[in-house]
Amino acid sequence: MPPTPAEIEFPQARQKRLAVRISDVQKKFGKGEQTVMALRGVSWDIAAQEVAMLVGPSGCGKTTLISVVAGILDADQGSVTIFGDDITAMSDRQKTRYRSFNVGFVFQQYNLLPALTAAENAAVPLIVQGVPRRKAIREATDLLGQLGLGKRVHARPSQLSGGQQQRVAIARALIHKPKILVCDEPTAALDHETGMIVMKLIRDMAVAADRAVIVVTHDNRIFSMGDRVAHMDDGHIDAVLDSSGHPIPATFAALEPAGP
Amino acid sequence: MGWIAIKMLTGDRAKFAGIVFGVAFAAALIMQQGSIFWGLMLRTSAQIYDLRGADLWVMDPSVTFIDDVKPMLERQLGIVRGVDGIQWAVPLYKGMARAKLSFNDKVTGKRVDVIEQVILIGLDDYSFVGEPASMFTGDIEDLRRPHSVVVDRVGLRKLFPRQGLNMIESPEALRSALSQVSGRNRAAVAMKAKASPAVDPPPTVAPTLPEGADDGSPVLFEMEMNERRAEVVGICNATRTFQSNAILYTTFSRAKEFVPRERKLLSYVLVKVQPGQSVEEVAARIKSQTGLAAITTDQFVEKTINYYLRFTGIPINFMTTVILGFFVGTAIAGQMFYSFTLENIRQFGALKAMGVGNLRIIGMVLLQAGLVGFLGYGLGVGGATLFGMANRGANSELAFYTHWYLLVLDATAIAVICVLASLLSILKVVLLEPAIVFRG
Repeated sequence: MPPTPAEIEFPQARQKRLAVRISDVQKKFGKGEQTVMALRGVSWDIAAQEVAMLVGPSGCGKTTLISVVAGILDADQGSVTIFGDDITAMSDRQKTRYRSFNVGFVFQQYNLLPALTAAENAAVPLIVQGVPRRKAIREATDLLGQLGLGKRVHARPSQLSGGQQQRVAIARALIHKPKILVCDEPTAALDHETGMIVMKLIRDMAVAADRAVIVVTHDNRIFSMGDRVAHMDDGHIDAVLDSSGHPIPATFAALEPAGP
Repeated sequence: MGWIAIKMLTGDRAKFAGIVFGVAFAAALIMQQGSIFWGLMLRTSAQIYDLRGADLWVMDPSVTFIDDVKPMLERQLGIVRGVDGIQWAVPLYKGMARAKLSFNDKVTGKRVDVIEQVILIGLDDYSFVGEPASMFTGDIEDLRRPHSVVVDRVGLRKLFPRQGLNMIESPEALRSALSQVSGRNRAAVAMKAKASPAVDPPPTVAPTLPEGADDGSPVLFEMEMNERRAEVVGICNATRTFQSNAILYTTFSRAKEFVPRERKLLSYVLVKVQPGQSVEEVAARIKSQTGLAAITTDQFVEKTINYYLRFTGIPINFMTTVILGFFVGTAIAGQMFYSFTLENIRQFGALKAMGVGNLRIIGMVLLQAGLVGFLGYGLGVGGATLFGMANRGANSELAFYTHWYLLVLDATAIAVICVLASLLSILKVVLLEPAIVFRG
């Protein structure tokens, strides 16, 4: 097949598989005069095997967008598909179940359960799926070992540093091998060096052929860790830049949607 | 997810202890007040159970409870005996009398005069039907002696205030102590020898025995009732009554001498039904032939308790305390539980974001509430029981009886407390937007 115009302009696109397609998503909050348009028809394609960063000023709609993508919030219009699965067409119950198997979260404040050990925290997604506790904790212990926390698996979050807690959160986000990893300001509570370590971990551990990684961040020091950076303002995506800073299209019309 | 819920709850030990305490407080208060109430109600009818041996109590139809004596003419006894199906029928006197006595106060060394209202029970002269279940010291047969009475052990506290006689555990020690405080082995011996030398030969021991020495006489001490001498020949074990007056047992004919003379002195007739006869049928026969009421022991107990429930402030006072305890427990547990939920709201949000549905979240909260309820109930009931055990005994002032109904009632109340306490928390987490976890 001859290359498409998009593939001519972005040769690297041909090797990538479409992971997340966000099509004309709109979301508003409030009613009447107090209506706030958080998302004004956002369209964005995210490929598998890469780190997509979403940046923008406070209140521009970044959190709303990733909430819709993760199935936590309902879009008023538009659609979101993850490896061909239409999230926006699912019921609340279906979305809850979908998240438990296919979505991983890394939060700014870690949100680890303070009463659980590092291994128990990392094992939570497997336990939510119904995996027996011992098996889940065993897998979590292995994964924490890969993340350099092998000797701290029995420590509680209060006994861990910020960087260590975030690594536990990364383990928790990846243990069930989700299709999409959503990271909300993963380095905001960390110093630069630790933040870079965390981002490197995300790149090394999270990026996979069957996974998309979205990182919402203000931290321009880590922009270089992303494969593409989408700039968002006032509810829509203004521009998408590649890792070199060159503009690229937000959507890849050339890429065929991948099935489940 | 259950173990996660429990770990979340027990992770904050101070808060966990506070929630459990709130529930335990309510459980203990409900159990303790309920047991005291039940114990008091049993005391109101204690004498009915103590006067054993009869199938039926025959009385004036207007009698409402055991102490509401409506005396009958003594000839009613003969009429009752004439009813078919009755094996025997005996008279019973029950009333209040005034006892006077003197004793040597062992603390001050002075002579103390006591005038006390006592409950006087007059048993059938020959059969002693209704006699005390057991004697602490002395022989019930000594009631056949002239002037003799038997006093209940707890009643010694009222007859000999501040002497601690009711706390003495050994019969011999009690006899000695009574002899000492009453000073009877000198004065009483001399008095008896002077009063009835023919009937009761004077004891062979010299009247100059040391204080507290046993002179071999069954008479423990003496008192005066209605200007008649009463010789106490035994101390019995009787259930404490509601009024806590001393109980004196004597014969029916002697009881009539100890109280002011009236035309009607027959309080009750105790009836034994012939073997093979129906108690209900005989009761109906007595009622139709004599016009008197005839009820069983259980029916009389129920009648007495109902009277106290309906016509005294006891139920409302206890119920007020129980209800207050319920609300206080709910408030403490509810407030701390809600506070715990608020402190963990981000964690609940994270769980919801990770795919834990509302039903599972509700299950987690209810499991936490259930654990708190289980522990609080156990601690509360255990604490109340220990309280009751520490204050038990015939000499105890505390009326405490734990019926199994109370355990069920308490468990139900605690379950309601836990549900109410967790309702706000459940609402909070169910309505929680998982997107909260994305906010810094």
